Amino acid sequence: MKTYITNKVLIALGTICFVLAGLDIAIGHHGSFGIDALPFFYCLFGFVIYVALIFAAKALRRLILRPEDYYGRNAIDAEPAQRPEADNV
Amino acid sequence: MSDLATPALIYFAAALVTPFIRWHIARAIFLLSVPLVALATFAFAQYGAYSNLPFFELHLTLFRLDALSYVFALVFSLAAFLSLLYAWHIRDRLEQVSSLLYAGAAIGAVFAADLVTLFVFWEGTAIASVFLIWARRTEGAYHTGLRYLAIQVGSGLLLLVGIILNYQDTGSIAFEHMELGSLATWLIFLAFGIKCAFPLLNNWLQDAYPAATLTGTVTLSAFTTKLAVYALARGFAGTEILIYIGAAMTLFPVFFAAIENNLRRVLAYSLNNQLGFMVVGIGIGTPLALDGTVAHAFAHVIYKGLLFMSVGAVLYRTGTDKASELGGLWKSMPLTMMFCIVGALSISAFPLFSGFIAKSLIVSASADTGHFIVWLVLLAASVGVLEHAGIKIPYSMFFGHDRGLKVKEAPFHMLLAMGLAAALCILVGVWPQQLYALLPYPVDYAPYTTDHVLTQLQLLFFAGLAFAVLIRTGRYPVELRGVNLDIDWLYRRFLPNLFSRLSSAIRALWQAAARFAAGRTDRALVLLFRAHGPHGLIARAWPTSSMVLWIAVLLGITLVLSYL
Repeated sequence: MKTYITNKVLIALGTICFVLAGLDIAIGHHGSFGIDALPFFYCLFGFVIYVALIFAAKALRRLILRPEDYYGRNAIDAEPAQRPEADNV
Repeated sequence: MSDLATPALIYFAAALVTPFIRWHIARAIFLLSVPLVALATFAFAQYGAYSNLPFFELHLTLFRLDALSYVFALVFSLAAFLSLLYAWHIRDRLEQVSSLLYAGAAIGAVFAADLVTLFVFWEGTAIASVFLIWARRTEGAYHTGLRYLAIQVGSGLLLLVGIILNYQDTGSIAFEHMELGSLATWLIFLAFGIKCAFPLLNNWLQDAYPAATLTGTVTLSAFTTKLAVYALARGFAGTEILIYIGAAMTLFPVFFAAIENNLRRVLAYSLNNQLGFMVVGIGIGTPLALDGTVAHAFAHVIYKGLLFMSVGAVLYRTGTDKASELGGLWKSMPLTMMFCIVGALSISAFPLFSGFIAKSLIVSASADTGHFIVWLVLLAASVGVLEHAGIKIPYSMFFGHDRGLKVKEAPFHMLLAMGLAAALCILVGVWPQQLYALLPYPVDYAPYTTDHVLTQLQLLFFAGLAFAVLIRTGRYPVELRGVNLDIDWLYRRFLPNLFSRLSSAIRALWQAAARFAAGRTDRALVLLFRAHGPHGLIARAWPTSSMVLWIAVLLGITLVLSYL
């Protein structure tokens, strides 16, 4: 399957992140609580929380995913796709 | 100004006229003029309380113009204009009339200076908005609308009871700051909380918004919940419990949004998360935090509307809003993609976009007041926003898996509405002072400091890097068709099942009891028949002599007893 996240995209993102992390060393940042003043706090926080969130959500999905017709005819989920431009009454 | 005047009346009068304009282009132009005319009536007015109306022993004030009501009414007017422009192609008069009534009721509620007027408009938003769902005209939409209406009207009833009790307690119906404590204030708080989609009270939002027509969802997204934010900011600013309620609201929807397949429902979860930030700001209650809440509500109405518009445009062209059916549309809908990405960058709070200059006030206020855990939650929730609204929404529609969909670009009026909304997002982001000048308290805050820009970019880009790595390693969740259970499972599945089981148990019990009673009655009848029937003991013909003998015995016993 073709992916839009090609090596080029990955390298570009990696470079931006590298520069941003470098700026943290070069000019640094302040914090309000101490821990957030540590170098790379925001870099690590962003990366780790993102990964944790995705794994937590995938675990949650195992518990709560049901077929589309689970709620029967009282729900919109199992209704057929709207005809394109269907709202053009 | 006369007694009944409120800008809401302009919407109501227009709603009366609208069905009678036959030519649909004239009707669309007329609709577009309504928010502008209504805006002109209050945009340049002096702050103050107008339209005082004695009503029995109560004192109603329909039109209170101050900094707080001004900002909300302004953004509601903008939202009404943009959503009507977006719905230019709609010919359905039901939907057009209910859009006007809904926007009018929301603006009327914002201007209400007393709780009775607030209640009337509060219920007005509930009743007018349900027709935006029913206008889809499917079985599912009808049932969803009923659920939505029950919950919204329920919120209004709680508000009414709260108002009555509050009047008994204080003798006043003025809508001013309240302290949580009495039953009355708790009921009013709960009524606001339902419309604000507090945790566990939230599911009407995710249930109803994807069920409306594609234009109806754009309209719905602007008013009800932000009206509740306004009401909380007016009535319960500085109420500490709101900090924790808000923090929970920012976090929980994030997980559901990440795995939801219906993109309009993803945005509804995202809306819930954004409301959380505003509620935290209200709970903190310092001038900076309240300014943050108001600024965030303003920015949010525009960028959330923009995101709903972009999903709506894709739905309009492809017929679906499910991520599992979409992808690769960047080639066929490049402008929609561009506007969607502006909305995505705004909601993710990228520097130079509106979310950045609004949300940071709230996050800074949480840090300034020393709420470390809440601050961490808000930061984590910001990563979550980037995940589901910043990345997932544009990625799954315009990139992701190319499904070979061949469609046209969105129609011109939709592009125009999205373009205006996107321009507002950027204008507010680049020149925040314009928005800050409107806020209730003077803003002494500079969003564009090196520190702030750098840390925000680090947070966002490293989260983006995590996304790219997860995609490349195949660990990013694939879009699966299906529904995800949420709290609505309780009233859509569990309670109905419980009731049907209870009723069948009661029926079985009743039948068993009836069988038992019938059996006993039969036996009693048989016994009676044996005794009294034609051949029964009692019915036998007794000789007179034996009767005389028994009487003699009875008299004898009586004689003995009387001598004892």
